Amino acid sequence: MALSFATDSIVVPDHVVTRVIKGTTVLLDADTGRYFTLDESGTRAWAALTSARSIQEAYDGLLAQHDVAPDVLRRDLEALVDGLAAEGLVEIRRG
Amino acid sequence: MDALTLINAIVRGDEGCVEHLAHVDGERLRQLARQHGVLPLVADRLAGWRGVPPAVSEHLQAEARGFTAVDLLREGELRRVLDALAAADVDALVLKGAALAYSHYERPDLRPRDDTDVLIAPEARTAAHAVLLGLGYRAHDHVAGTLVSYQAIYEIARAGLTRHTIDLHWRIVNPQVFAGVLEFDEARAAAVPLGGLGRHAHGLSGVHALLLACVHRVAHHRDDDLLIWLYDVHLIASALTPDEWTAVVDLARHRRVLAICRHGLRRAAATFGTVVPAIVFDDSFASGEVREQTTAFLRRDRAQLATFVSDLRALRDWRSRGRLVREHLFPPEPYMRQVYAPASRAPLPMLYAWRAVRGVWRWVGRG
Repeated sequence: MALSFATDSIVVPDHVVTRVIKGTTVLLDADTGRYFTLDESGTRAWAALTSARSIQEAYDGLLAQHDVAPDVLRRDLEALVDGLAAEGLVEIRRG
Repeated sequence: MDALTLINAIVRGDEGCVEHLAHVDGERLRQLARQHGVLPLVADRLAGWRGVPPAVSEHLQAEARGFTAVDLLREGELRRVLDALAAADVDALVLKGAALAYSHYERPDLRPRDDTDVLIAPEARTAAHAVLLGLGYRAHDHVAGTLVSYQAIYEIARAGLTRHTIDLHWRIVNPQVFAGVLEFDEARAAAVPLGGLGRHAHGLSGVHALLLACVHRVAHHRDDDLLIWLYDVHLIASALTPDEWTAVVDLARHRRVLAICRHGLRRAAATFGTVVPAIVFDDSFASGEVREQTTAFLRRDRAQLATFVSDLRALRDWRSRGRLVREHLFPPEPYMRQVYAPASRAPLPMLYAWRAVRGVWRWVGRG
């Protein structure tokens, strides 16, 4: 099911813990022991997504703060959310 | 510049050493840094410096992220353990690396450790044991008794992998000559909160932490110059106030470990440039020279037999000495089976005899 930016949001499960180190984020799935790393742009996106009420709100904030083409940001954000969800690092809450 | 000297310089923050990175074997550098427990520190320093060869930096950063992941995993487990101990009214202090990671290091993942050391009062052993088993931890079989050892190891695993190891202590170090160096009640009274681990997490005060950092590497590890241990001493010492330095000297002198503390501080100063105030080395207020028995542990070629003899001498009566001998010679059966005959049902007396024979060679060997 495709993301609906306006109504969907993400939730971080309790078993996922993170630490930001010098602009990158290490995400650990404590249940499986697998860990992942987000680079600086991924870290900014993660911070926006986890603090926003919807993916749209995160998108709007990132677009306002960074010099990026809207369609590129939209595509990258979709890919990031899909990727995180596929690894069980976030859950997509459908609006 | 050889790899170890380069690692020292990096951890010290000497950015001028970057030029030498092009001439050192990157894998050797990582291996040594890992061995000395300072890989995350080295990676962290280099991440902020210019001119670092990308190949060196990328491998270090990748490995450092692994350390971060492990640290995150252990942090969650430690919080769970401390909360459960508190719920069972077991007062506990986090010691050594696990504590310093939160009290003295910029980030906890910069202080790698293989396990988490926790100190409890001796009378809380049974309760703590029950709490840990209740959380799913498994107790290691070990040489147990009332005199032979003052610690027990617990491990929790999932999917066949160890996730966290608790080294539970009811005395800070094992050798008898160090008995009374720091008791639980005294340590607890001066304990400090460890903010990143929840409201039930407390560690040693700076004064006590320095004492332990200096004593531990000598009492248990033959004065091993592992860089992370020396860096611990450096960080703790660098954060002390003048009043705390006075307290360190008074306590170390009173507990007969002043020579050991001076030695640890000299090693930290030589390696990391630790500034140590003159009061540490000033004997003008001492009432004559007191020979500290603990200095015998500064010999790096010290045989295990020497520690045993020291333990016998430190005990006050022959009954205790006899008990210590028995505990060394006849550990519990589960330990004997696990170590000496994991796949057989050999008679226990035979296993004890084999242990005695093996022990002679191991105990008399030096270094």
